[in-house]
Amino acid sequence: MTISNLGFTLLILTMNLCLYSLIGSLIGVRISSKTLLKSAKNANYCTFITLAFSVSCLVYAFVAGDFSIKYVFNHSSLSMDPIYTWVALYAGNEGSLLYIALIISISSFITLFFMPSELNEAEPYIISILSGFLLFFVTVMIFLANPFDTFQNIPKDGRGINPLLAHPGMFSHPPLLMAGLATIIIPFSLVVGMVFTGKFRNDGLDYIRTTSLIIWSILGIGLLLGSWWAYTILGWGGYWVWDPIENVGLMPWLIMTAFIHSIIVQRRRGMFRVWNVILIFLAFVLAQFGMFINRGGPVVSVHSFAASTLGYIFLGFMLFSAIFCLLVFILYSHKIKSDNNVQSFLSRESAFLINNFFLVAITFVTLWGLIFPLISELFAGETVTVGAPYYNSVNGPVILALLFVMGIGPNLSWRNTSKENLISNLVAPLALLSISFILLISFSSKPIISSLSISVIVLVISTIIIEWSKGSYRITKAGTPWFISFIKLIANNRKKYGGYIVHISILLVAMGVIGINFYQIKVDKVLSVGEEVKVGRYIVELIEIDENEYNDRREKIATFLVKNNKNEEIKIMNGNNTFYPSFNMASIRAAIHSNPIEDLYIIPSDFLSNTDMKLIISINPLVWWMWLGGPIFIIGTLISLWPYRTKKG
Amino acid sequence: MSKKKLDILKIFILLNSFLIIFVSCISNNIDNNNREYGLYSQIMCPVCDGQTIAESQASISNDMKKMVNTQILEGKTDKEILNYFKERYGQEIISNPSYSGFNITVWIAPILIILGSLLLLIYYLRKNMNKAEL
Amino acid sequence: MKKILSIVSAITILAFFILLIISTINTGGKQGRPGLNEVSGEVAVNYNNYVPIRGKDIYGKELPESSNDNDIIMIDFWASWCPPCIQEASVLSSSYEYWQSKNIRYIGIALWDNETSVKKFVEKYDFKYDITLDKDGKYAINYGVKALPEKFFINKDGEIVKKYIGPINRESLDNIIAEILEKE
Repeated sequence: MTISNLGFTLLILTMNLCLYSLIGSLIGVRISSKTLLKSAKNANYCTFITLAFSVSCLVYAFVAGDFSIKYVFNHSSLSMDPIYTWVALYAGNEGSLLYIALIISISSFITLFFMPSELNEAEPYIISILSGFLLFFVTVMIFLANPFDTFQNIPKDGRGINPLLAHPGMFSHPPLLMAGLATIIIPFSLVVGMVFTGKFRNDGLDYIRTTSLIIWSILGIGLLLGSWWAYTILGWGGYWVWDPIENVGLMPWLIMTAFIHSIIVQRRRGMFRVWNVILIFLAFVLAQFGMFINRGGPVVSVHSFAASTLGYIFLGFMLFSAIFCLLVFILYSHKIKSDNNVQSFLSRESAFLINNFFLVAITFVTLWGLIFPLISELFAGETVTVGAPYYNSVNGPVILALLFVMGIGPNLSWRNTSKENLISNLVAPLALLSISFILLISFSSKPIISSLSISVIVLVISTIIIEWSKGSYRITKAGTPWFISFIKLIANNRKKYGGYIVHISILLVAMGVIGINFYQIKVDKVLSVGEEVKVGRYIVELIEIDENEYNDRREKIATFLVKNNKNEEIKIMNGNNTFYPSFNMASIRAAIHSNPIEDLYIIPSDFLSNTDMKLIISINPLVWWMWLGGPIFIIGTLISLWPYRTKKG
Repeated sequence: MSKKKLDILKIFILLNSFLIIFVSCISNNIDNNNREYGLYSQIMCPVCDGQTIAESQASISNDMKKMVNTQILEGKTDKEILNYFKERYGQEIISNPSYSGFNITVWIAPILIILGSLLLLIYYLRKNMNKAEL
Repeated sequence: MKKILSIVSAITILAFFILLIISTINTGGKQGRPGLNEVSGEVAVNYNNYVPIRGKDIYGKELPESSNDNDIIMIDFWASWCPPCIQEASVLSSSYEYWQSKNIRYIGIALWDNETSVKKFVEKYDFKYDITLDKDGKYAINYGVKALPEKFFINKDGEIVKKYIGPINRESLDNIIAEILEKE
């Protein structure tokens, strides 16, 4: 038996296990047979084992250089560093499907394993949904996109991996993003299971929150890593271009953000039940929309790595998920009425509602821009492009409003806030907002919106710091030192303060966005070796241009000397432009000098001769903070998720 | 002044100084967001999907940038330059739909829908709030 | 109130899916813009932006000041590194020998290329017509060239009457020129 046969057989086995688990759990709940339910659950567990072995088969084929398998031939070569096997695994359509299937089965395993007893009644439904979802991917692989497809004649060497992917940045961004999109099924299945049993109440809500938070943070980190990769590797000088593929990753994340906020309200006040169901349904359907756009949607995108001709299948599946959600909603929504209504505009509930509203609005604007070319094509017969300026100018103000609510919201109390309390909480932040706004518009010639955005960030940061210091101050009264009381404060209410830390990380990202959008300096310059150019606070000198030929690529390297205003040397940096003839693809690596104030970003745009080159030099203020946002985001999520020690007795 | 108020004042001053440092760091960058870049980022690269010529380093993008520069030197207005490209490559070469004809819906629809649904939300909340008071 | 809301959302969802289904059918379930996947063959000319090609050819010789301005001209944008251009090279050189006698002029404009490889290419395929190098892509941009090769056919009145994208075969080339001749 060849390795390809083994891998494929394991896939067929997985398909049968999924089918058994799906049907078994549905019949089991009908005839209330505990043994059948148990075996259906075990069948779902087993898919993890079969898929893990199947993936190992593919990995083995990669490492052994078994080019009889088409997928291995297309995505690796003998000269490829074995480390990139991990990347090659999900670099193409078939492999990424296998990877997604594995992720679904792992996450199903973990979810079912740690399932709290409150959800026992809903468990069969959850299992059947998870198995059904996995079944879809495995079936697509078996019939339409087999990763173990083989050649009749075995080629000697593979085509090699896409050079843009052969980079450490690719080790984490695509797998995290795909994992995040695929695992939205977990909270979705939990919610559907609870809705089916008519018990979308507080029992088990914590479990939904935990899984949603984990998935939400994976997706968020995946998106941020994508930006970081684009910024440092692709040499665009940009980090986010509102490309369709980026947008379909962002939309479910935004909806999940709304969901993890509004679920707090459900826990505390028994409200927004129907709304929460709508949100998770929306997130799930949007994730399927993302799969569809990624694998054959009618859009043009810079990311065509996983593109395939499976568009119809994934569109069909998205349609199926939408109909499923609609049916569940129509049939069960009367069972999930809320207990309370919003009592005042000045309440925490209404702040959450407005936060949800803005998040959905951003999603809508993004979706509208994404599908508008299709509408225009259909109704006006004109091909148009909807690019970054649309998203920036329409989404910008909404995002700003959202940040503002982020500052005000935590100062409101549940139910109703007394005016005196509100004023005393908000007078200092609002004063800061006004002062910074006045300072900024009088000193800077930038558009008013840039000054306003910075002022809003100042407002949010100040509300958080004031809240923290008030809280710690209360604890210092007991005699504990300042720093320890601060830690105690966070440890005592991890959910709340973890959330604040995540808010800070979002503010850091916003700072980078503002810096690069409003305060960037950009110059085009042709330099000869030995010449220098002054940009902002820096003097950039081109020291030398090197050219290296390798058997798979042609590499041109420019070396720069960066000096400060006083002509003191700061750093020597390299930028290169590498051309891969067999892929007809060039990859440009910018030279970046990064510090908390600003990044000096040099793109070696064009090598004109052995001594001349065209450079695009930009100064991107505050981008450093954006990348700092990543680790802080993770820390905040972890604090927020950290379980409380359950007290005995 | 109570101790609590004094503490808040301290925080206030601390934040203000943070702000001033922050502002002084970025605002001494001279403004030269030049005209070329404004134009580059409005023209899509015709061969590389989803990138404008400002981002793309493809040969045709570099040539298009040169063309933009030449036309600026010739004294053409932004509109004339963009039209030059639009006539030759179609509307899709411009990174944004135009503000006229059918394409204006791309701008108007989301603004109208967001404002409309915000009003609807407020109306809905008010109605239910009254119920709660009864 | 609730009824209106649910009707509106139902219509929106329906419209969204119909839009997606139609567009996906238009692109054939592949990634790409509707209608743009077929990039080869004759395409409509919707803008007449003919400018005469002036300047020096690759051997430094001045291009004829379009001596007989009422010739039919075929302008070919190509490059020595582009595989489809290599594929059609012999079609061009052999067809020129035939059409030259009927006062059809060919101009080859090499793009994003260097002189040495263009010369090598021209000699290899024995191009007898004028070849020039478009250094800053001025002509290419003026003609709205996206991909290589692209051909433009200009009639005696100086109008672009046909545009052809992708490698051409002898039959289509002859047909197009014959059609233009007929219309004159």
